[in-house]
Amino acid sequence: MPCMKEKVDVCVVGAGHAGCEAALACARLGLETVIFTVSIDSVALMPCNPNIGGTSKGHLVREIDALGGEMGKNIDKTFIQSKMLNKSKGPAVHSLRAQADKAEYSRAMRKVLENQEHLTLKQAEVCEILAEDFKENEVIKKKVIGVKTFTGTVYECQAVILCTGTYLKARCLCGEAITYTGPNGLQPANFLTDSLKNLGVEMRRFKTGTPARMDKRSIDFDKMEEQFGDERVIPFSFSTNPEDVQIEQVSCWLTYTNEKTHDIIRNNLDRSPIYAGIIEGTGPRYCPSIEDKVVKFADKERHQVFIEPEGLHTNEMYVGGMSSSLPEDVQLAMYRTVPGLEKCKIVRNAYAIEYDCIDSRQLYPSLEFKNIIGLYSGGQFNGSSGYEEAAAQGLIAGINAAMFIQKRNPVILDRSQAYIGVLIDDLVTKENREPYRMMTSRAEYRLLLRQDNADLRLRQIGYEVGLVSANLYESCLNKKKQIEQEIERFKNTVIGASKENQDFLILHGSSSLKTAANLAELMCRPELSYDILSAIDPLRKPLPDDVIEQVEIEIKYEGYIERQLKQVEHYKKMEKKKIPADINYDDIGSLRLEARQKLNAYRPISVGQASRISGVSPADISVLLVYLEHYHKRQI
Amino acid sequence: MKSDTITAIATAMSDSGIGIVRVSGDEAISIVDKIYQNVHHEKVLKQYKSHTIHYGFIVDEEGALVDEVMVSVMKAPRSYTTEDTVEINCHGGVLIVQKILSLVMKAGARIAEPGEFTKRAFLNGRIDLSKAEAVMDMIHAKNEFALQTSIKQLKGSLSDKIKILREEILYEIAYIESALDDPEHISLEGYYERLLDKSEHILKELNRLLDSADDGRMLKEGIHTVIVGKPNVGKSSLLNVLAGKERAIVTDVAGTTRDTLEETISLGNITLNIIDTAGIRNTEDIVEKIGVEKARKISEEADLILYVIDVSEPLDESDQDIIKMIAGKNTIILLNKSDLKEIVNEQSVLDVMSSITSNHLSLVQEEKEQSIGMCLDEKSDLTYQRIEGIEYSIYLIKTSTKEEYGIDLLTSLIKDMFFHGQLIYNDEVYITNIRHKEAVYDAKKSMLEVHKSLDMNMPEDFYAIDLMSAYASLGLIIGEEVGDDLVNEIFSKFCMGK
Repeated sequence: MPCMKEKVDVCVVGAGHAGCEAALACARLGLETVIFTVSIDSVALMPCNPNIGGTSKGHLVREIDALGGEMGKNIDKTFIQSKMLNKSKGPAVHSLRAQADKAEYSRAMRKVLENQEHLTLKQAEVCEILAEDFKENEVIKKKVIGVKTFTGTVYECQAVILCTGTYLKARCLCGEAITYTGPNGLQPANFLTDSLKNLGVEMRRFKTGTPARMDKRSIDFDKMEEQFGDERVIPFSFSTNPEDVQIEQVSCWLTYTNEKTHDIIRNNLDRSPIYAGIIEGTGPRYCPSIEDKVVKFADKERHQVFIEPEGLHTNEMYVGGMSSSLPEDVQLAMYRTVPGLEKCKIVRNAYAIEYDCIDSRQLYPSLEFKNIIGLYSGGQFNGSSGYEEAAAQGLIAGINAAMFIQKRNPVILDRSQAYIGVLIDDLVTKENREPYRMMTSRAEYRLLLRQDNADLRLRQIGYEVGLVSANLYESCLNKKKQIEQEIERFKNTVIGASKENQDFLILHGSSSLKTAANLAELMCRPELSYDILSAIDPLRKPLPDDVIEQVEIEIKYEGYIERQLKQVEHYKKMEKKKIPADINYDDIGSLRLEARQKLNAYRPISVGQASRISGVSPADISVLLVYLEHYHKRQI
Repeated sequence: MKSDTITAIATAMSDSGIGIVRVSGDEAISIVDKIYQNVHHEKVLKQYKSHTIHYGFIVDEEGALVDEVMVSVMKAPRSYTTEDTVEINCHGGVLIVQKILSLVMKAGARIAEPGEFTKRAFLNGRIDLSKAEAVMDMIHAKNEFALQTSIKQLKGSLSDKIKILREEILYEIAYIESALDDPEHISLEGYYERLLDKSEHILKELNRLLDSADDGRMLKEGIHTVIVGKPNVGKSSLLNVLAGKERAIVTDVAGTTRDTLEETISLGNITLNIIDTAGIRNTEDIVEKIGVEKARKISEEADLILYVIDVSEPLDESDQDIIKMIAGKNTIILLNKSDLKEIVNEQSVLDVMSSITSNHLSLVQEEKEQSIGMCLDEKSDLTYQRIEGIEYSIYLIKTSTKEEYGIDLLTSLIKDMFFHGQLIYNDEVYITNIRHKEAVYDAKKSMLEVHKSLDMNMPEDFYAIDLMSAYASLGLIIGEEVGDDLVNEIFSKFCMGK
């Protein structure tokens, strides 16, 4: 049978949140890119919760934006409610979350893809990854040469990025009813798994779930608490004009489960596929089904339920907090015990979905497969969960596929630079037994990794890669300069112990001065702020809000920030010590056996990464350092 | 490469004449400068030339004199590690060396990892590349040993205490973190007061641990030696003779039960940590039974057993029990009361041993070469017997504790066993313990930071940062890393999310 052949630079498999970022990054860096999806109508689909951001995920979106990704801009165009979470807590954990109009979000992203130069959107199922043997440092590896679609067309390329989400051999479960489909009844991808296995990729199976959607008209909102968005909306993207996002917002609603709900669940547990043992995939603990919550936290009398709109032009409402894989009849009975949902009509049932993915320790931190040159992957395929986690990996995989083709160094963010760095380092280094979700507690240097300074941290990298324009980079540099100058000025502006100043301090509930102090010292007092201090700071010039915000944070939390910077310094030392790719750990007799096996299996790129592998002790690291020194000197 | 400053005791932990505390790293000189002053009470260490040695004093935080010392200064790169190095030569008492070490640490140095001076010497190019293998082996061996002994010491209450404290801290972090991650489900309202109580409680516990460490109860260094035997065979007098002769009792801590007595004794440059146990015999008496059980337990963990036999009494069932107990242990059997009529001799012991082991055993006569500095008591001869046919060492020597006969031979035999590697001298144990103390101290510092944040009314996420540091520090003591503890705790204790 004659088959078509096409030649491109990059093939991206899957057009979800990871795939879109990956494809856009490659195309924007000038590479001919084709992005495959089983359905053109499901580009950037949000098959679960209708929002973008949230704790730590909001950080990811900011970072994606700073690097030149699309997610932040897209949600700014299509959100219908926005909230800064954790506002009462420290600046490091402030997190932006926006409710999206799902259909609009998808449409807007599709429009961006369709209008992107060098990018082709293609509806086709990729069934096979084509590769050939390749000798590198005396080791035979595989090297990607293209992909083949279900219809037989071959796309020759230099790099392939796998962003298959939950589609690989997907299976949906709703009680006893099982369908072999992807999310929302979409066509699954049933062939790619075998092709990957043939290339030596080890596959695993994960599970996740989503709650039911309800008809808005069947819900009694009078019995629920209304949840509003923020009065002043802050955009996700650093390049969105804040005035453009002050729109009319819609509300979400809060209600609770009760003992009746829990009784129904408990009485029907034997019909839940998870508890009946039909589901084999591992599900996430952070996003438990309502069955899980009732079983694991039996003493809790009620659980929160958030009713969230799916968009402006639909009556569908998402029932947050009640994902389930119980059968349809049990679902309906259970939902109807919740105040406000007594007469609810289900539009789409809740279901659990199982899918093939990988243990991402098969990847380098660049997200390239260790054993297959030119093959990259991102998103749920890598064992993560969440739109934002997916987009972040997609962006990095896309950038690095491009760097590879353009023979430039890969972009690897470390744990002290970005949540994205933490995310990827965790994925490629640690053992994850469930879909991985970003959490603020995973970032050890989170005081430095704030959502408010993502641009200051990452714009430069985005610019160097080529995804951030000179203009944007210029304005970021300018912002940095303004911040530094204002901090300097604060530290050098002396406030004397004059009567006027003492009165001012007492007026604001602050203790009076014994000797003169500078403005920075005063601002460290919890009760004083940049704003309040204006009364005794006549030389102050007007500055943009985002500059003032940084000045205030940097000064107020200076002690803590300095301590973290010190830790970072220590951490960086080990990250900088690279391990040569051809090292044979069996040569190092003094390593403990377990360490030797783990290091041989996961081949970390730096001593720092090695130290985070479980089973590698500090003594093993000492031995490794000595060996490396020996090794390097021998090479000379 | 810029590196932090490390310190350790460079001499064996014993009551030898001189102890040396070595300090190496960029800050070595300025750190020692904080605690050293010359005869004119001046702080002038920084002005001294490299490779010079100076008389002066170590003073503590309050300015009180700790010891008179000689301090040598070796500036980079002309030192063992090629870093700035200061060596404090002090009086060799265990307590003094220990005190100076902790002063150096308080002044800003960190305790060296096992083998770290050598590692630095190597990494800085001081040691020949061909020695890389040896350096790695040494690090490996020292760490294995430190780990083993550290875990051995931690059996029981201390590690339980640390575990409980860690659990309490982890719960608080998880509580805060789950609220940060899921603010719409978990609230921190009223949490301030709870954490204030909790952190005060934790601080109190940490202080208690530090106090006990200062008492020396956490520290037990030296070769773990146990004296066993039936009642009235001369065990206690052996201990007295050993201790009295060397006049070097460092501590005299009564054991936790009334049935054991513990002493630290120096034999030249090695230290024995000797436990005298209750006599072992088959008995129905409950109290005595407990003592006997205890002796058995202690013997299991001993590095060396001194088994005392009264040669004027026949061997019986109890001796059989003891011989079973010492199987697999390095043992010296003392045929004591050799001044009395001898009913039991080497051969009778061998017969009992042969009857309970399947190995073929025989006696070998050995002669001790007289070594330098060994001054024998008049009646000593230099012969002893060794049992052949087993993998571990059992020696038999004749003694009389009453007439102090054979004691010199005994001590020199112990030294030989040590120098020939049959006994491992445990100087790392002390270091391990200093490490424990340092970790508790760090945890305390972190908890004080938590308090400071509470005082300053900082947002809750700031508490979690220092709580986590305290948790990690305490983990070092029991050899546990932080890993995924927090995430696991969050998911198991708090109901999260969507």
